[in-house]
Amino acid sequence: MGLLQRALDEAGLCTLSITQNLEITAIVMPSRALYVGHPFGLTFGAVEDAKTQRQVLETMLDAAVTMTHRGIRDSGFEWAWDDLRARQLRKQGR
Amino acid sequence: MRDGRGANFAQIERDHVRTRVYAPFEWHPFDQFSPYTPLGVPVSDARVAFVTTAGVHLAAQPAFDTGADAGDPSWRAIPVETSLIDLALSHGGYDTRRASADKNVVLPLDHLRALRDEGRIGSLSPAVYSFMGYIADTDRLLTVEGPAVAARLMADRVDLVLLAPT
Repeated sequence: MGLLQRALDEAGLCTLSITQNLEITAIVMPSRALYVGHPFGLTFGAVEDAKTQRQVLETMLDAAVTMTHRGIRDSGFEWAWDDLRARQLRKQGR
Repeated sequence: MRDGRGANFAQIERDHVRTRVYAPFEWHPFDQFSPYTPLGVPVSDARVAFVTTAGVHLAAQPAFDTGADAGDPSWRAIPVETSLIDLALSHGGYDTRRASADKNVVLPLDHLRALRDEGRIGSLSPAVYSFMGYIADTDRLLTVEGPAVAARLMADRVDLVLLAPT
């Protein structure tokens, strides 16, 4: 995602991405990223959790306006449903 | 910010890919952030585009190649008014069964359209651009496919591009 964002940034587009992993984003360094601590494959929240899905999207829109410098911002969204994210980060779950 | 809770996922992912899938894999590092272009209009006036790497495509479009060791840097353009029921997922990096049950978890089209209809967003670009996130050989992404999508987004005259991974 970060490399693709870089290509769009280089073209002069205004971009804002979600990152689900800080280490990778620190390597690729796209212009602006919002950290969301959700599992891979559940980027915006749990299945049928429309409230959280919309909140993440609205937080992106807010960050697109208020992040006036390059870098990574913590959205505050964390995953508390189960240990899926922790297992994914150990490559012990998909 | 908490992330890997002590583990370095970039290192874990690198070792996993190199050992099991694509031996030449290495992250493509940069020492500077890419250029930042400020949003030039209020969000309520902005034309917003969405880019995903969740492996989403129209059921009628070719699936992404989830069997290629070096990954698949191709992309699909999906009309923004597409019903979620007409979308399919092909991605080897995560269990797509969850997102298949509610595609808004990776591509929140219902919410994007609602925000537009409520006036929170000015308008939406005509297409969503979709990639499959496993791209171990990034040369073609950086030199061909990424710039091609950038050109499409410029032609779409978008003010803001939101990108979401998986």
